[in-house]
Amino acid sequence: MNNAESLRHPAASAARAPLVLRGNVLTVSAVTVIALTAVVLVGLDGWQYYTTPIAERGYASAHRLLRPTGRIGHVFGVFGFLMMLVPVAYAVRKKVRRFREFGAIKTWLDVHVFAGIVGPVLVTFHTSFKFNGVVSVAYWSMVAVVLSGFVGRYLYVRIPRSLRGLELTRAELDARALALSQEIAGAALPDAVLEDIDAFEHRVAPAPGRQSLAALFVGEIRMRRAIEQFRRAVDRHGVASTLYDAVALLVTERATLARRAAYLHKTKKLFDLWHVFHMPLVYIMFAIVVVHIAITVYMGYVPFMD
Amino acid sequence: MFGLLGSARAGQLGALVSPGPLARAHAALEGGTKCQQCHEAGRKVTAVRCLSCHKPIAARIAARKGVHRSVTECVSCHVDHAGVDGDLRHLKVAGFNHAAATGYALSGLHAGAAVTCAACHKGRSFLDARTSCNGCHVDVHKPSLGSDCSRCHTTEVRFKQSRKGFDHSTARFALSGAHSAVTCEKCHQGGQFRDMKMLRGRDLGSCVACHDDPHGKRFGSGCTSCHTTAMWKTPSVNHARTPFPLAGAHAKVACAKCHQGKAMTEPVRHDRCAACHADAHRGSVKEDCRTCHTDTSFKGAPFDHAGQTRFALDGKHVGLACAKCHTSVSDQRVPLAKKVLDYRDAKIECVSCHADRDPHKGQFGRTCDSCHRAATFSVKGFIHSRAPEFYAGQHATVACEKCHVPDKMLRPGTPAAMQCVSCHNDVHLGQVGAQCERCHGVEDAKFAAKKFSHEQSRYPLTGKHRQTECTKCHHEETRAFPSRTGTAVAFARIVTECAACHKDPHIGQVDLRCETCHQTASFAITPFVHKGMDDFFGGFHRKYACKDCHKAETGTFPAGKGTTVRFLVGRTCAACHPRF
Repeated sequence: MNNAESLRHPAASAARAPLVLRGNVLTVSAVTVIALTAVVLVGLDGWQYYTTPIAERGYASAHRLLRPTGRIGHVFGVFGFLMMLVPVAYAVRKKVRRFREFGAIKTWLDVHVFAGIVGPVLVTFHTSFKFNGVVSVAYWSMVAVVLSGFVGRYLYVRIPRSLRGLELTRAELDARALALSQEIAGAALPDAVLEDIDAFEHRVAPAPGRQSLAALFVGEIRMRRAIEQFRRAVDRHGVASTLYDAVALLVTERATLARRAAYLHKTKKLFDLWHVFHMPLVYIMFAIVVVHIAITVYMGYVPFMD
Repeated sequence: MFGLLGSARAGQLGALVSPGPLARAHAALEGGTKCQQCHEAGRKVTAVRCLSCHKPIAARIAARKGVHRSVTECVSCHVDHAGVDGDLRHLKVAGFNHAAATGYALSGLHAGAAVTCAACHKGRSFLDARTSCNGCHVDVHKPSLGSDCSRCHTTEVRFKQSRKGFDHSTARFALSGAHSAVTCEKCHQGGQFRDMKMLRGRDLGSCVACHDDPHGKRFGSGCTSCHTTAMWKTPSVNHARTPFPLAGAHAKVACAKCHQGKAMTEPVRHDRCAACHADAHRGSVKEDCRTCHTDTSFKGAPFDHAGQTRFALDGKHVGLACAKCHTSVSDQRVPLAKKVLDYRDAKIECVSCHADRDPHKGQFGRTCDSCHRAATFSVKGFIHSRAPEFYAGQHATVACEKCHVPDKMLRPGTPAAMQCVSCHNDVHLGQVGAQCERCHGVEDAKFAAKKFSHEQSRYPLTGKHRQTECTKCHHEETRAFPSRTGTAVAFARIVTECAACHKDPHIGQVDLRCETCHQTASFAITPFVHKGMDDFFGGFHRKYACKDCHKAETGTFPAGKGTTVRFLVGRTCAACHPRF
């Protein structure tokens, strides 16, 4: 792994990402989910259908399409299930040595996140918000997996990585911090701005030795607010905008890096714990879903066949 | 979780895989072992399984009747697994076309907004409601008016209003006069509307069913002859309404002439004329006077002789004076007629009047109508009713006198009258007996013997004999015949040997049994076969014709000299083959 490549600015790496995942994967997923939800709730009359009491729902006009075995409801289930297989593929890519060169782990994670958000939404529409029997255990397992996924991603992004998604070593972290400091020092900045930078960095500097769980989350929120205030403060000095942008990004990255480096041990420990929670739920979910699919197919409820 | 699944019993498993609780009506089908009572493996929920329980619906579907008349499956309308309170029968009452869907149209008050389905469909099944009125309504008439309520009530009007509006003129007892004013209950006591007492009388309207009879039943039950429904008082009696309307001479008679007793209690016996009139016929006529007389006048009675007696007057009998047949009797004791006719004992036999002029002197009995008609004594067109086959054909046009000779009258029905020889001479002079009909028929003109067939004789004709004229064999002869000596065509004793007619061209070479070689169809002897000489005529000799051996010769033959084919030829080879 070339360090020079791995230390390039994050904005540059976004330009080289696959087209479909060009923005933040969470944004893409959110847009997809909102569009999908709008189509189902408005386009397919889903809002009226899902708000009808279950006892009367069988006679709603949208029942033919949106019930779990409906023309569209069943398709939701099938595609939801298929999308839920994508994260499994991610796990296989990660664990099996043979697939190690098969695509960047970062891309796989983005696909994993996208499928892990859109798939459950499809499954949710497939349930038509009726949660009966053992298959609801699978559903709630899935929900738990998704929610834990958000926690996992929160932790994941807090572990500094290369552009290909590999974790950086402590030495690599220090090298990147040094490079950032030199770039900032190289820029001819007014004293007032340098003072602001000092004040900001002093404010967000992680307290030594206090790596509690609360400090990890609370400190994160505090830092975001500090970044906003720092930007406004720099803005008041009337520094040329291009220079400001560059400096602000550098200062922010250096502060973030410093913070993440300080909490790296805690984050990694939590992340390992997270795996223990995330994976077993997946097994439960798939075991029940396979039974669910087997029973419905045996009973003759096969999608695209009626 | 696997452990949970593993330890779960079948029933619990069913609850685990069920997409939701079944509706209350299907509660008995809840449970893991019962899924397949509705769900068929690979075929989802099939109508067959639903209808295995819902048999009344199955019957309606099969009959193509009612709401389900054209359905093929159940689950598109009936959705279950929607909870215990799930709606299995989702009815849109607003748009429901009761007439089209059930065949029973809701009209009038039935279709009112206030009427709910449950008002009629009281049970769980909608099929329970009946279309007859008493299925829902109580019959306050206690079935006395039958089950057809529509005769008085409609769905448009409430029951109580339709009672006021009932048109009594549609009933058998129409209300008029004072009857229109009384309340229903005055007559229809105890809710009885049918088989009313006043309808049981001799004629419709037996007044005494409700009213007392001040006449002590002396005038019968038909009050309406004097009274009307308007009022009981009878200021003027319309005699036309009474059983005895006054017409003709009766209309001119003073009331007191007939009504001699008290008007309220003594009725007039008008049923027999004799109650007032004396019998001019002294009881000789049994029938009532009206049979012959009208009430206009006793004279000129338009008596229907055909209808009232056994002797219809027609032909010459029409217009004859009564006394011509009915002997008159003069009786001064009868005041109304000086001279009365005795109608007793008049006979219908012809001889009772025509005896002195019977030209047949009684030989045909006492009635003449087998031959004669009342129109004329002439018997033209008389048809002999006996033995019609005998009087057909040539006999049909024979004049009566030809057979019915004066002083030699053939007695009808005697066997002699039907014998041919009674009228006809036997031209065959007894050769063929007296059974002429064996050969002759009454249809055959000029005694042609069409019925005769030579097959009946001892010598049936065949071949050329059929075309031969009869006279070739049957010659007219003058000699002694069985009946007498005379001239007749000979029928009997005809010689049938061939030689009797045919000459022998073989000049005695063969005997006279010509039929050994010849047939009547032709003299040619195609069927002749040399018997026992198959070897000789086989092979080489077969090619030769008869005449190659049997040559015509002139010489001496057994019957004399002449020229003919020689039959007896030499039987040695050398006879034909000299070189041998």
